[in-house]
Amino acid sequence: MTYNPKIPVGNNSPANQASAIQTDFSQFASIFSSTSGGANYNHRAINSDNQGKHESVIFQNQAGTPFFNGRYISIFSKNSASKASTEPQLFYKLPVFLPIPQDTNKAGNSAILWTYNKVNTVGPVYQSFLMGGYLLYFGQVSALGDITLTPSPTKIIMAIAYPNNLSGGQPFSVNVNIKNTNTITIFSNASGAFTFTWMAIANA
Amino acid sequence: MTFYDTGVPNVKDIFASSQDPFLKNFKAIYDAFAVNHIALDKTNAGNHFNAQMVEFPNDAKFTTNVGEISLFCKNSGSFNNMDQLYLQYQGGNFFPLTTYQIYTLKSVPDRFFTCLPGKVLCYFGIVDINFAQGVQFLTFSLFPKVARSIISLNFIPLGTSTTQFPPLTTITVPEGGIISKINLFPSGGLGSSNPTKLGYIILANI
Repeated sequence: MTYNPKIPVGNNSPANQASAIQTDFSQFASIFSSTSGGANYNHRAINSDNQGKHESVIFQNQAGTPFFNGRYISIFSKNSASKASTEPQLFYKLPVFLPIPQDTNKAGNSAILWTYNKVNTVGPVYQSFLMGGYLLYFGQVSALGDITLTPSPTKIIMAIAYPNNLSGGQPFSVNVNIKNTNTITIFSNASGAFTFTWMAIANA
Repeated sequence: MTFYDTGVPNVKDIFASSQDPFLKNFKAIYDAFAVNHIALDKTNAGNHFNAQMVEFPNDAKFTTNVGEISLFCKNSGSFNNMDQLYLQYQGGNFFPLTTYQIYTLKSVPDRFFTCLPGKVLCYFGIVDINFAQGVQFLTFSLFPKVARSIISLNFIPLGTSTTQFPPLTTITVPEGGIISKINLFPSGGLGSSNPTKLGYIILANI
């Protein structure tokens, strides 16, 4: 059965269109709120509590950025390439508001990459993502040397580290070297027992 | 244009006379639902191809009930009254999820910015410094210049030295309510003979 927006038509009597009309009502209700795994998507069902509200929202991947302009925000999904893979990701697009007196850049309102398909919440190399296609890596180490970022990014943009201890009442020195596309190295005069907290931001 | 008519059929109609209003209503449902959704007669009907959120009136309020999360678009009231995406939790607390238009800073290629929920802008990147002889401090400029207050800042020397320390920093006085400059002062190992690069991350309210 398929929803048909073109019924009833012509000289047909609604009496012999009853089945088609019932199909449309039925199809609209089931499409409006499909069920999978015991959950409603994309809306709560008609005739149920909270009808019309969203329970889960499924975004169908788009081939490109949909064209829209107006005083509203758009959220959509399209493929985004990263070092690890090419995957559908969520994007959002703001209404145009630049330039402003403080920021005269005519940046337009390009869609902004919002998500990445992986996070690491258990460490020791913690990882999350930032709006704009950036990956945030962070953690704490108790030895100097290399820190390998996983998942491997395209390019490390910046890295910092801070000593968490003093030596004779004085802080340790610190340098961070961006060794290659997925490795940073902490250099210091630190000795004995110590820890450094560190952070890096990279292009996905 | 087709309009949805909730008065169809009228109790005084003979059913046959409602044929045209029926047609218009089915078409109206089809057209309205096809905005933001895969159309009713297409594969994956009902899924969203886009979710457009119209600006929510600033003086209007709605309830997010227990067990719900709401996503909506609202005028943030700052910088050209830009609209931003907001998140409201059960109980009514809400905050901006997005903050600013993110774009590439072409004039300063190693500098970047992004935004965090809660009207926070995150500046990050690499800056070259050189405390030449006699230079007491260097001024670091924020781009875009929209920070109302600096929450946190970190500058760390990049490289393989074991004798360098982070520079000392001061935040300049706001101009027109905007903070756009941070002064960097030499510390151990960052003297005139050691031009270097600094990795930095700065969090600011806008």
